[in-house]
Amino acid sequence: MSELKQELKEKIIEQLNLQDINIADFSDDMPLFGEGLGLDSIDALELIVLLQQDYNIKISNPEQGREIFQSINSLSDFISKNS
Amino acid sequence: MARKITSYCIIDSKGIKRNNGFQDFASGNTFKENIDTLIHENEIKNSRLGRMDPMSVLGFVGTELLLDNRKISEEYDPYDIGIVFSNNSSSLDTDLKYWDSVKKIASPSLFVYTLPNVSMAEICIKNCIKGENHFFLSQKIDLKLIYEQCSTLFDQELSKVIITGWVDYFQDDYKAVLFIIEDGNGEYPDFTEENLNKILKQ
Repeated sequence: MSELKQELKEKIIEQLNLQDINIADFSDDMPLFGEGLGLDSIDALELIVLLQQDYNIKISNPEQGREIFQSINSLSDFISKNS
Repeated sequence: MARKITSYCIIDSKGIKRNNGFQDFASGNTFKENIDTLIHENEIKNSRLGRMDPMSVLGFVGTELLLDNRKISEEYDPYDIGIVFSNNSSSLDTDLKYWDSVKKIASPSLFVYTLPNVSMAEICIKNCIKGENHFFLSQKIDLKLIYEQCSTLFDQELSKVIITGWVDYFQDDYKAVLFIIEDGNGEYPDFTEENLNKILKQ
């Protein structure tokens, strides 16, 4: 699981071009949206693309998005259960 | 007071010309190398820069250098600050990249920049500008168009200060020519098409 979390952090930083983010400061429980990493709605769409492209997972219910993308912990948990 | 050109900034592959001088870029540098140099040397900070398309980066960095740490939305009502931009390529560079992405999975972060107006939005977000935004297309830099469109906004009292000019980027070919137009005193050149041209040609 920790390998997946590290991989997710690296992919998010690269895919979203987060030049100011140091991976060492990117904690597993840091909120991805709002306070924390500060992602926006376009980033949310990019994360959905990342899930589909890299993990072959489609989010069928958009309502789930808020919970899935809460943090690296919730995202890796979702991927582990659905891949 | 008369309407004046109170600041200018011109960026292309050769270098940057500003009110206070000229700085060469190294020959053969890419757009990214040159713009990263400007961002670093002028300590331009914006967490959104990494996500912007090159045209928006050019417009944003050019405007930051044009404003030179000026807090324009504290000097003017944000609704009185206008932006009038133009270019030849529209958002074509990003349009092509987005079209390429569609072959696999369409990229949302590219899609949002497939409209040249978004470059102005980035400037507005950073500087809290809420006034008129206009983006025109023309085959080459059209100072008559810029002069007439800005004059219309002033005459109709829709703007009291305007950031205006040309912001064009296509496949590493780029040029930004930016001016601030506002009421000012005698030390600045009058806002005329002729004076815009003198600055452009220097």
